Amino acid sequence: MADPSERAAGDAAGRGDVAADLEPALGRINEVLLSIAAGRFDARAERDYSGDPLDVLAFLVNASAEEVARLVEALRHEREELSRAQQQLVQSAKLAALGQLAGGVAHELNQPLTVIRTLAQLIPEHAEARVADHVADLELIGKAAERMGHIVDSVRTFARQSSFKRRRIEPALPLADALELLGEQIKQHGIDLDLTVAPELPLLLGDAERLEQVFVNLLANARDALDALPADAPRNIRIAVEQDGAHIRYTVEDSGGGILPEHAAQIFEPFFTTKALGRGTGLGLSVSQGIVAEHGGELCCGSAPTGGARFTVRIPIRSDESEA
Amino acid sequence: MAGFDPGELRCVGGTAAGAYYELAPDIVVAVPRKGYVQSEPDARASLEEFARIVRERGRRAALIVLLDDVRSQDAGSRRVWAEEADPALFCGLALVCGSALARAIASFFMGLNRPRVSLRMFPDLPAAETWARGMVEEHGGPL
Repeated sequence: MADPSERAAGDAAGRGDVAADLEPALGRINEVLLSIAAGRFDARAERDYSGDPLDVLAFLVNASAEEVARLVEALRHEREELSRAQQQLVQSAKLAALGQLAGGVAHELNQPLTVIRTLAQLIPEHAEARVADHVADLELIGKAAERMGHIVDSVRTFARQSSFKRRRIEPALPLADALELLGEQIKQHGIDLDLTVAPELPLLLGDAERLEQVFVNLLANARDALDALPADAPRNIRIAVEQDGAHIRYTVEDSGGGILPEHAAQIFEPFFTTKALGRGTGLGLSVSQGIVAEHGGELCCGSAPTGGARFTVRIPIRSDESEA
Repeated sequence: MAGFDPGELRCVGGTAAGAYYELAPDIVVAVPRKGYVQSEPDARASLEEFARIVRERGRRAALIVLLDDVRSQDAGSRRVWAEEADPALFCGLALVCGSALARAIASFFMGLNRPRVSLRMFPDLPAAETWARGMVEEHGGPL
């Protein structure tokens, strides 16, 4: 009978042999797993189809790689679908906003049109006059036509469907574009607008057209909130653009009735609206929040000192990132 | 199941992958050939053959697959079983796995790519047959 200590030493040596045998195969499987971890899902462990434990391990590794590849592909496909759906939602909300702006835009076009029409009627009444006598009138017509062209361009740019594309822009640019569309309307509604842009703001990496949509939504909401006030109530919209550390902060606040506490939690939900039927789609704020999130920023609501609503948009400056 | 002997069982169909036998009324057992590696076209051919057998008989059946001789199954064939197995034809699907490799293959089949039919894994044929009889009793009948 063998000495127990000799037997133990023999067993240990046996285990050592087995480990030594397994080492190369486990090393190969390890390499395959590292390749898979690095995203090379076509890596496969070699199999001998014997059904022994190493072969089973190789099958499990290969099947895992296949399934991970399939799931990654499915995820990529779903992300593309989601992105397409978001793009369509942004465009739908934009067109809905444009529909609501149409009345104001028509009114704005009507002003220069009236100038053109009036002068066009007056000029033939002085048929004997030389063209040089009408230079001032013709200049007015030219300016009116230019203004109309500008309005049409603003509408066209706003309505255009475009993919998310960031460029270096002046932070005030999207706001200025939104005011191009809504500024005149805001005046017509008897609203005082106070715009403060801090000097020497750094350029912002952003999509001007998408951000314009955000400000069109915020300004249209402010205008509607102020329309609901009694006739003699003060109507103010205060806009500030300033740097806040690594962000540009836009603040849009109004002197309206403010956001009711029970609405605050739902205000960014799609299709939530407090406006009358036909006045709002309930998409504006949810789409705006999505656009701001696309920029890596945040859109928050709160109360202005006047008790009205205050919306704050914070967009990271990202001066070190390349344009996308 | 390694070394399965169909004996007097009636062969009711087959593909390049193996043969189908009638184990009991409305219970079919699929016996893959030794060393079989299932690919996507093979899986489709196997399902089509099972559908042909069932339609020919006009009655739903339970299918027992002996996995011990199967050496591999790729993701494409798992997807075919998951997406193309017609639940209207099956009373149930039993996988008999006596080996570690068969259990590994069945685990992927049942986990991430579960077909839309009642599905169970068993260590041996008698246990699978008992379950299949119950499924036939519960869900069997004409198509």
